[in-house]
Amino acid sequence: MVNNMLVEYTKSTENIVKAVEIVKNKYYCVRCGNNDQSEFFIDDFGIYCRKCLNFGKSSTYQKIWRKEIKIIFNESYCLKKVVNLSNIQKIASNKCLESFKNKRDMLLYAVCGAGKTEVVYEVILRALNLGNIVCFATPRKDVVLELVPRFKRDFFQVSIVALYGGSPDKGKVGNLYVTTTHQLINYYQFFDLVIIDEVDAFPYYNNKMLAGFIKKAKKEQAPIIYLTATPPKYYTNLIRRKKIDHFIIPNRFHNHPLPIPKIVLTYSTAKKILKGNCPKKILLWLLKKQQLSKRVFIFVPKIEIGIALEKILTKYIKCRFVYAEMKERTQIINMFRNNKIQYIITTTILERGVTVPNVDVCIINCDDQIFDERAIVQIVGRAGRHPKYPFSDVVLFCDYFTLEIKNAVKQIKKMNKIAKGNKNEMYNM
Amino acid sequence: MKCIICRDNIYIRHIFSALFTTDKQMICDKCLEGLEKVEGGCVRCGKKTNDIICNDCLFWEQNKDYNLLKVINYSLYYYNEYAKTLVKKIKFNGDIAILLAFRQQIKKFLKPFPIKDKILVPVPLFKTSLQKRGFNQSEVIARIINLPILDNIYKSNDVKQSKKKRIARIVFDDQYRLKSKLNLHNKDIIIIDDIYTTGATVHKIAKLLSDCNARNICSFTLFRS
Repeated sequence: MVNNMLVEYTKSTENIVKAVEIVKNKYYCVRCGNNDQSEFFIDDFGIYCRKCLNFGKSSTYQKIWRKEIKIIFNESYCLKKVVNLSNIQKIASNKCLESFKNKRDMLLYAVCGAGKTEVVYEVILRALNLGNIVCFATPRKDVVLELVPRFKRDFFQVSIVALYGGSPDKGKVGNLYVTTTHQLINYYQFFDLVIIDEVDAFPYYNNKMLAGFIKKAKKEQAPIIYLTATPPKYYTNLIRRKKIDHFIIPNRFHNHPLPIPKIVLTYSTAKKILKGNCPKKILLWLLKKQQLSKRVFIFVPKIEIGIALEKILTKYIKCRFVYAEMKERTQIINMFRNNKIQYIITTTILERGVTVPNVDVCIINCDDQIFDERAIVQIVGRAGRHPKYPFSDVVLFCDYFTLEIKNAVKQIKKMNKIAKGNKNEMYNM
Repeated sequence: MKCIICRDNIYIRHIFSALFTTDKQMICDKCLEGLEKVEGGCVRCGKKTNDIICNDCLFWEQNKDYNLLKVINYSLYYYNEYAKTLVKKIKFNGDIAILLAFRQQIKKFLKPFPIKDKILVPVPLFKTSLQKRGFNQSEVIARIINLPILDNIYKSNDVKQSKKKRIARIVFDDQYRLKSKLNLHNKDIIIIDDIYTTGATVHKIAKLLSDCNARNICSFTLFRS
């Protein structure tokens, strides 16, 4: 009987509950918190939630076993490597500690490349030494894979568990959990501190289910720290109403300003590329980079355009196209990192989490819907991250101006202004 | 109205005849495009061939156990890559909603056939796999067609057809057995399954039923590989 049950790990008392319950004549999925009746399948075969079906069927005849886990702490203190923080990072780190002490949620709004992860090290360490369990959640698997070796390098005497789809660590016990947000479905009132990276990234943003997972996985009083470079409106409203604390880091860790994108108008770009000829302005810009031997990110809105562009550009330069469903995806990205390919064409999958030094960035067909304000700011943030090469060229090729482009440029300029020292703007989000 | 598979909005055509139909469209046209309807091919089973009868059916005709049966198979769609993902969702994630969404297509397909006064026989599952899955997919299809169902057959062992090799499938064994003796004199029967590959399952059950004096046996499956 136990084998058929869904399992959730918890630190509170162990019990068995129904997976789907009826609350006020409405079905309610205990597993994912869904109460949208159109998402339930209702028939004589049993009632089940279709929203969390990929995580195992939660239906009326199924039960959830909330399995208690006891974590034994090693007596010795957890340690971390000494990381040199800049002044503003230190202030931010203290602010995080303060809100952790007061058990308040907090939003850390830092520009791309400000070193957000280093700022939260101090809080993680404090929480671990108090005997708490910490969760570092991000919506993306790639980020987990990148973060785990970094954490293993920087923290000593801490057992780190990495959880993502198909990870070997499933069911292991540790103190610091680095997970994708989806994996938190298996936890119930477990964590004492939750840190969510990239709150505005694709699967987590505007997804009630994933937000529900986090609410379920943490203990009731546990604070959350949100990290982001482009806060969505929901969170800025919370700040305005003083429901959560916040802190802004306007400059990057090397104190150079963010590159401001140039906007170049081209004509019927998508049509031309799909027909098989590239607009001259784009081609000339790309060929110029070949002489300078700088690596280039080329962002396109759709897969068809990317494939067509790869065909055109292979006549002149060495380039590859990467998109989500590709099998050799990680290989090509690694080749690009190791400077074996100079140009990489990509959809928005590489919009965040990828750090390559000395790189130029361009967006083709930037007037597409997919490039909203947050996406453009993130893409611009790919450029000039390394302290040795802080300046780089960012160009947006578009047919016409959109509101999103304007807002994105405005936001970047505003952050640069704040960083220069105009403190009046600091508190107007 | 939202599509069951991709959850996009379905574009509903406002036709006069739509007022008189009770079945709503549950799957959007974009999802249906991925499925390929069975047309032409083998006369007996619908397999894609240039010959009149495919090799598998020739074998069934020549085999002395089965040559009197003459089971004709009707299938709705070919089992292509997209269909594979659907079957995976239905069988292993347990999403019956997708199966029931084919209600309109199945009814439309069976309309020209004279299926009145016939008995449906869904292919049974083994006890443990039924417990694991919670439902029998062929029984769900049978329930859509809305004819009397005969459940007097059970599966005696847990050997799956999909795990066997081609030759091993065809050998007759008593994998399917009758629960009790029954007389099907002058009765027509439709065997119902989800996927038809070589026809071994269907022929085994047909043999069993023809021993009970069933008159005409044919089969209906959702997918034909």
